[in-house]
Amino acid sequence: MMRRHLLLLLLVAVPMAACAAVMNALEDATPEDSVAGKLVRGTNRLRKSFQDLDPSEEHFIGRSVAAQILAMPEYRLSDDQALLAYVERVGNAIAMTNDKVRQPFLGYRFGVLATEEVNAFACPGGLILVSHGLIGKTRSEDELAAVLAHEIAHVTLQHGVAAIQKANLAEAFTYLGAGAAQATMSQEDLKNLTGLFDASVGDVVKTLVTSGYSRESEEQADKLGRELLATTGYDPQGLCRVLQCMAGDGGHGGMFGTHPAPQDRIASLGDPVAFAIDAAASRARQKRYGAVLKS
Amino acid sequence: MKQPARALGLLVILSLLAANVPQDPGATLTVTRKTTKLRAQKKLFATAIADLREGDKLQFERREGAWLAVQLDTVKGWVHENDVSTNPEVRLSGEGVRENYSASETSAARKGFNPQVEKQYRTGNPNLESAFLLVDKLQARSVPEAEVRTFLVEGGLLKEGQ
Repeated sequence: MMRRHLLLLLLVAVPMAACAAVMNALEDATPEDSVAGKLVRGTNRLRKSFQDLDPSEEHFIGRSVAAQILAMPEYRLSDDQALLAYVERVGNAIAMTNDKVRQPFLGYRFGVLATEEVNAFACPGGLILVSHGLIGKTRSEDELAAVLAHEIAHVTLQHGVAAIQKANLAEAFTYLGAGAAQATMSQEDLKNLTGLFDASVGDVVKTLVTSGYSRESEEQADKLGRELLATTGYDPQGLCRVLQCMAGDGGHGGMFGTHPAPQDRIASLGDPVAFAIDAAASRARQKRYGAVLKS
Repeated sequence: MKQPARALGLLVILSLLAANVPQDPGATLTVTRKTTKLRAQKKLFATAIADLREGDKLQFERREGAWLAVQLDTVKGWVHENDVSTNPEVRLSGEGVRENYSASETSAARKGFNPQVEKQYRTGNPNLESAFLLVDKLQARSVPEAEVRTFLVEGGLLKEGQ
């Protein structure tokens, strides 16, 4: 009977609570080993979706996703250090000037893949791998920035971890919810958790490399990417120009297999965004772009 | 029983949504990035007045857009909302945590996808070892903020002194 009253009390209090502060107060007010206490604590700790992954967890998933991709023979890292340094500066210029960019655990990191395949991978946790082939579709720093802004948008919107199958994540969260605060993991805990980690990494790799994000996710990344470009001061039309180049040259595999057709992406972006060209600034950017990427 | 169950479900969702939005002045926030800065003004590139590390505790004062006015010990400043969590049980990597914090203080050892899990994953996938070393190499690179600022100024993307 006592148990029922406690449960009823909790169920009445719950709709009134509707905020983390009240739930934390309830946690303080209920004994840890009581039914009500366990329910309150369980509710507080329950994680539901990929958005509930903590930044450090996303970081570890992203590291393993990147390792899986870099272990593929077709995706070797380029040893062009000047190009890598330039890509890092353009990418960080976008990431560091936009309040809307989600800053990952370590910040953004970049790698250039030594393949002519037109492709890029935004690993969870902010490690972005962009192929030499895709960089070759750009003709200016603003267009290179457009490519990187699109990938930063994928990280910001958490599209990578969103690719983890709901069932895998639900199982992981259910498992992690039990005794979450314990200081050490038993071997069995570790084995189970690593299995779920493996499955989650596999889901992301499959989406990045084989199936691609949904059309909706790509459109979101294009639109946010264009917004990020404009905020930094780059020409927001840079993205359309890269897509036009891709459409004109055509191709297969890589991005052509995992992304909507470039023409469809251009159409989805809609009307151009107003941009006042500063000729002197454009020349300065073109000069340094040309110094790294002889066009 | 359906109505109370729905109410409970709604509460769970609302409490999760509220979990990372500081509400009350005085609330404790935990830094979730490996390193970040406490800034003098609420903007990126503003002067850094303190280095923040994963696990540092901040007192929330107020919010303005994406920026939170906070206090670290006696120092007041601004931190971006992305850099902190209101969740007292947030999982940390332990990689950026200050040496004088214990694991239990920073919850670095809490169950989650953490360095222990990665180590086990690598043990089970020895074919990935050289690729992990490449990931380490890429992640060890960072561009200092001052260099990014110079790059922006030289490219006409940021005015000198802005």
